[in-house]
This record gives sequence, C-alpha cells and structure tokens, in this order.
Amino acid sequence: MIFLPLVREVPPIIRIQNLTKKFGTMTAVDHLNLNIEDGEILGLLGPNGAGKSTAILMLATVIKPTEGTACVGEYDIRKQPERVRGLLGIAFQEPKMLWVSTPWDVVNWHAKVCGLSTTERKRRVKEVLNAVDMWDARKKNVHALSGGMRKRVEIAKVLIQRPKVAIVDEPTAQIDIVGKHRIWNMLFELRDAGSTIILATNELYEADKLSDRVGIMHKGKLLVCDTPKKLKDSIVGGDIVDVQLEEAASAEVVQKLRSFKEIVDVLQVKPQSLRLHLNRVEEVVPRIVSLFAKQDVSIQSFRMSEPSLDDVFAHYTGLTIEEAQKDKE
Amino acid sequence: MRQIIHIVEHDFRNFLRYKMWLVGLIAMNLADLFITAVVYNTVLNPNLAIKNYFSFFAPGLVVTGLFASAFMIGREINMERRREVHHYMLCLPMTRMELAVGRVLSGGFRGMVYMSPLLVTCFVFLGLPTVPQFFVILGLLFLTAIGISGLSIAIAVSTSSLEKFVTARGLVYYALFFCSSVFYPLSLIQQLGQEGKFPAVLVAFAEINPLSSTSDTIRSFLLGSPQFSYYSILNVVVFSAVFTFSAAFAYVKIIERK
Amino acid sequence: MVIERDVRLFFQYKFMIIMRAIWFVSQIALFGLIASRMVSIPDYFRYYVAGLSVMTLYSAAIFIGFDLYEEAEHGVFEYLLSLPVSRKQLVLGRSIGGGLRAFIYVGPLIAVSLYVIGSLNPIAFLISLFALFLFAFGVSGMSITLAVIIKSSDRFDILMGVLDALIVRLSTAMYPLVVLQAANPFYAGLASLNPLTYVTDLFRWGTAVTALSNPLLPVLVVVAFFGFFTFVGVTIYDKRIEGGGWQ
Repeated sequence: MIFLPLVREVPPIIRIQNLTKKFGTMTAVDHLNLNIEDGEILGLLGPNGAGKSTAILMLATVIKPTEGTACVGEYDIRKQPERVRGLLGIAFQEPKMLWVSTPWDVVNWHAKVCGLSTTERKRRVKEVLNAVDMWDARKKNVHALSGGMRKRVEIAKVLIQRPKVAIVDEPTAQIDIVGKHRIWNMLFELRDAGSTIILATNELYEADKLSDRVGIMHKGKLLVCDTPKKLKDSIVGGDIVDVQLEEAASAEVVQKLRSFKEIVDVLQVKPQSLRLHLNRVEEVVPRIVSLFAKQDVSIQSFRMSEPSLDDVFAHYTGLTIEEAQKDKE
Repeated sequence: MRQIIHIVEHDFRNFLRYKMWLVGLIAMNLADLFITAVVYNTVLNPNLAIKNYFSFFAPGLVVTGLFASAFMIGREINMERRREVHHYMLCLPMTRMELAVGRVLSGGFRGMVYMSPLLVTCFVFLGLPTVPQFFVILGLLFLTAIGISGLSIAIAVSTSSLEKFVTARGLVYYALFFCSSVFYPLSLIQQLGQEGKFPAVLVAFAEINPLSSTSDTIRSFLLGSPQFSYYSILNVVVFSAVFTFSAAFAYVKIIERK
Repeated sequence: MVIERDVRLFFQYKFMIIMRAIWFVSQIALFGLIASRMVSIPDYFRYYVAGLSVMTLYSAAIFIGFDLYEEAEHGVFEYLLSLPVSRKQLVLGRSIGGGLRAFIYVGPLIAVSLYVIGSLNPIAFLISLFALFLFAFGVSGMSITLAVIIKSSDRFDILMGVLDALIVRLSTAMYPLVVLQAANPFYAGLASLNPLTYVTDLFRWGTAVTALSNPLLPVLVVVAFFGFFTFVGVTIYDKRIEGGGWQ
C-alpha cells in the first residue's frame, strides 16, 4: 500500500471579486479581482490616483463598494464588516490622529481597542514606540511632530496590534533612508510573526524589495499581479547584457548568439561591443560565456542589467510611473 | 459595551487636553455670575417674581456650562471629518452603533465634568438640595448633556466645513438660550408674549425648551420657585431621546459617505 | 497691501460674518428686549443696543491675534516675513487691517443700531465714529502685541477668554457706571480704567442715548489707548517676530 501525503489547499486569506468604487461618474476602482495568500506581502504599485488607497478603504470597510465584494478570512466586507475589522489593521497614507493627542495616547488607546491585555499593552507600547524611535517624543502633542514622526506613530499602531491582515499605505513616505530600512525590517518581522501584509506604494524600490508579489494598478484597474521576477521576465528582451570584447566579434559568433532562444536581439554597437536583449539572464549567461570561450573570443568586460518595476509599469501602460503621475495631475 | 467605554475614554482624554480653552470658558462663566449677575441684582425690576438675580442666574449658569462643553464633541467630529481622521475610527473593531453611542455618551460625560464646579458653586451660594433632589438634578443634567451632545453631533456630520458648523452652532445657541429661562424668568417671556411684544411661537418654544426645564427644576429645588413639575423631566427625557438617537443614526449614515 | 490682504481674507469667512450678524440681531431682539424689562435702568433697551455695537466691534477687532497663530501653524507667517515689507510696515498694516475689517464688518450693525436707537447727534456721532476707528485699531494692536509676546496659542486662547470676560463685563457696555458703583465700588474702579467704557460712552453720546459732560476726556483716553498699543505693538513685534518659536 502506498500512502500518499494529504495535500490540503490553503484558501487565500483575502478574495476580492469585482470590487468597484465609483464617485459620481469617476471610477476610482474598476472591477478589481485578486486573491491574496496567507502570509504573503502583496505590493500594490501605482501612481497617485491609481485606486490603491480607495481599494484599501473598501477592504477596511471604511467606505462601501459600488459593486462587487471581498472576503477577508471567512467574512464578507459587506455582510460582516465588524468581523472583517477584527482581522485588519491599517496604517493610513495620511496619519489619522487628533492633533491634541500624544504618541503614547494614540498607540496605547489603539492597543486597548484591539483587545490587548493591560500587562501586555504596557510592555508592548514601550517596545513599539522604541522600535519606531518615538519613545522620547511620546508625550509631545501630535501637532508638534514632524510629518515623518507622525508617520512612524501611524505605523506603530499596526505593529502593536499585529493583525492577521496588515494594510500599510505608503509606510515610508516622508521618512529618511535609515528610517525606511528600519520600517521595512519591522514589516518583515510582522510577516514572520504571521501577518499577511498589503503594501500600497508608489516607490518602486520598496515594492521590489518587500513584496512577494506585486500588483500594478493604473486608472483603477489591476493590470497584472505576479512576483517581481516574473513581472520583469514578462518583458520580452527586458534583460540586457553589454559585452566588451578584445577583438571585433565575427558574424559567426553573432549568429550563434542569435540562435539562443532566450536571446531576443543582438546589436553590434561597435565592432568590439555587443548588446544582447534577452530573458532569464541568470540562466543564459553561463552558456554565453561558454560560447565565447569555445570560439576563442576574449572578453574585456561584461555587464548585466535587468528591468525595473518602472520598466514593467511602462510595459503595461505605455507610461513610466512619473509620467502617469503627471498625467493624473 | 467595552468598546463604548473605550470611545468614551478616548474622547474624554482629548477633552482634558483642551485645558486652556476650558479655563477661558470657566473665566467667562464665573465673570457672568460674579460680575454681571451681581450688577443686575442691584437694578432688578421690583415688579418681577424674582428678588435676587444672582440666585436666579446661578442654575442657569450651570446649564450654560453644560451646553458649551457637551457641544464641543461636535466640533471635534467635524474636524475629524474634514481631516479624514474618521477613517481611523471607522476601521476599528467595533460596530458602527457602538462608535456612535460612544461619541454621544462621551459628549454628555464631558458636559457633566465641566459643569460640576459650576454646580458646586451653585450649592455653595444657594444651599444644598435633598438627596433625592440631588439625584434628580444630576439625572436631568446628564440627560440634557447627552441630548446636547447628540444635537451637536447631528450638526457636525451634516456640515462640511468648520465655518458652517460654527454658524449652525451659533444659531442653535441663540435659539436655545435666548428663548429659555436661563437668563430671565419664563414668566417674563410669557408676559411679553401676552403683550404682543414677543412672538407666540418663541414663547411656546421657551416653555418646551429643555434648557428652561433643567434650569427651572434646579431653581425649584434650591430656591423653592418656580414650582416643580414632572412635565419638566418628561420634556428633558424626550429631548434627550430624540437627539441621542437621531445623532447616532446620522453619525452612522453620514460618516461612511464619501 | 498688507491691509488689503487682511480685509480680503476676513470677508472670505462669509458664514461666520452672517452668524455674527444674526447673533447681533438676536441679542437686540431677544436678550435686549427681555433684559430691558428685567432691570429698572431707564431706557435700558437703547442703552444696551449701543453697548452691544461696541462689544461686537471689540470681538471682531481681537480676531487678528488668532489669525497670527493660524498663519504660524500653516507656515504663512514665514512667507509674510520674507516679503519686501519692513517689520514696522507689516505690524502697522496688520493692526490697521485688523481694525479696518472689524469696522467694515460692524458698519452695517451700527446702522441697525442707529435704526433701533432712533436718534442721533450728528457732530457727536462723527466724533464717536472716529473714536470707534481708533479703538478698533488699538484693540487689533493689543491683540497682535499679546500674540507675539505669548507665542503660544493655548496661552493666548486663555488670556483672550479671560480678557473678554473681564473687559466687557467690567465696563459700561452693559450697565452704567453708577450701577457698577452701587454693586461693587471695586468693579466701578476697574471699569473707569477700561477703554471700552470710554468708547461706549462716546458712542452713546453720539447716538443721544446718554449725555456726556466732557467728551474730551474719553476721546483722549481712546487716543492714548490706540497710540500705546500701536507704538508698543510696533516695538515688540519688531523684536519678537523673527526666530519662530510659535507653539
């Protein structure tokens, strides 16, 4: 008898079906369909006005969808909104706190509302405020804090709550590079502790670095959603290799390079300089080097680059993120 | 219930952060009592039913203080809406009704806390009520406070700018205070109405005005006049119920709109 | 330019202006009417209406101080300091702008008062109008001076609240000096040092509500009040305005 291990499929933690939001004649989110897996970090990338924040507000049950629905865990956002809110924690794009409050007030009260016990709350408030470097400023009015400090307090709310699903909308806007890295590490820790994270951002590096998958949004629509690597690979010939040879490359060498199925195009920029447009560069490079060796061609230098998420965005929309932002304005 | 308590705690803590505003308000209220009321007392019309304006005005001052502080919750909610801070409140793990009821109650509690030194001042100068009377006074004041809080919240969620909110607040204040027995006896308003110098509709409004009912009930217990009426209690209960529920309903319906 | 800006900004708050106008009318029609029956001061209704006009001018003129805090909060202050305008010109402009807009705003209300009061002494009225002008500028100057000395919106709020409570109530805006004297001589003493007392008395003299044996004294008091807060305001503003520190 052969015992086969049981493979139980884990359903997605969030299932979004045809989620739409219209404001008058303007469609902010247009029939969004997306499944988010438990424990993943999903990046929502797009320029301002792409619909990321509106989609987030619908998931958080802050605003009602015009059409469609979503399920967070087993709860529908339309039918069981308070259950959904029990699973979610959200750090808004613009920090939401009264200016007469203090960071300590904000984080402590949030922890109370989210059900932390008194002992745990006392310990974790200090821990979290220290982690976001706001312990010294804990008694200052929000009014007196800089934009970056308010942002850190906003993040602290999610960190102290440790929700099943954390939504962070532009978590490192207005924060310096050291602060950004600190917050990114905290988000990884949050994920490792069991949270699923939805990260809305228009910062390409942030989306690339943090996300397991990236969904690209533009004008309310989700254009594509996949791992950063697959997104980059989806651009035909997106990877580039620049080879500088010691001697001019022969036609035979160029022909042999063109025969590689991953290589989309070979340009002889100068007699000794070749530019290759290809896919899956990391798999093809050893074979290219081997070819040059067999042909007895000496390589002077070898440079590789792969497309950025901006290139991916441009590929799907025809615009860079910056151009899309200006277009929106 | 627990979440309602959290909301009350949240609003209360914010209230105490407006210490400077509260101190300024207390200064104005006490100046009204110890300056204006004292001065008016020396020139009181001898034909009036009241013989001492200071004693008459003190309970009215309690209601004035209650109004100002209970109404403040509306200003905060209006500001939250304008700055979209209400999105945070809406994403918390509680039902909309818990959130709405919490806000109304917290406005009421704030009113009670602020007016308590004014009430103590009243007792110091006018004497203490009996124990049952004391609880009736507290109960009436609390019901009035949550009614005012509810009214304020209903206005706050219906107005899109601070300016409009302040305007609406002003209109409510004028109507409620000038057509009531807070500053002058109801009998005087009724007399002017009979003489045709005061519109009948405003006289009727003054008679059913919950601020009149609350002020006069305190006066009836501490001064013996006007005569106590159970109608006053009913009046305040109805006012409180109407505005508490309409505020909760308005808050839930309007706050989610974008 | 500075004056024009302050006047223009003030009138953008249309609803506030409408609300204050309604407040004014309801104070006359409701409180004034009933209070005149409540107290045995002769002709109290007209007495009160005249005082109310000056109280309204005072509250409108004091507003400029709150504007300074709003501007500091939103960074507009730094913008104003960066303009090619000297500090003295800036403070004088703010002071005059604050007083002028208060005066423009109260103008229609004074017209309503005149209609309700129903009498006028033309020459005296012109003198009292002049005094009201200077009083408004002086109040604006006082508000600006206190705002830049304190530089904390919380403390400014409380000070303005306390001042409002005392300045209006310890004056002849609501009751004659003899009545204050009978109630409490100390109150009367304070009222006789209060510029609001003098400007209100001048306005009542101008509208023939009460007589004034020697109008020169109140006029000199108002001029001195205006001069003091304009001069002091300019000096203090000059020294304190830079360097931020607004709370």
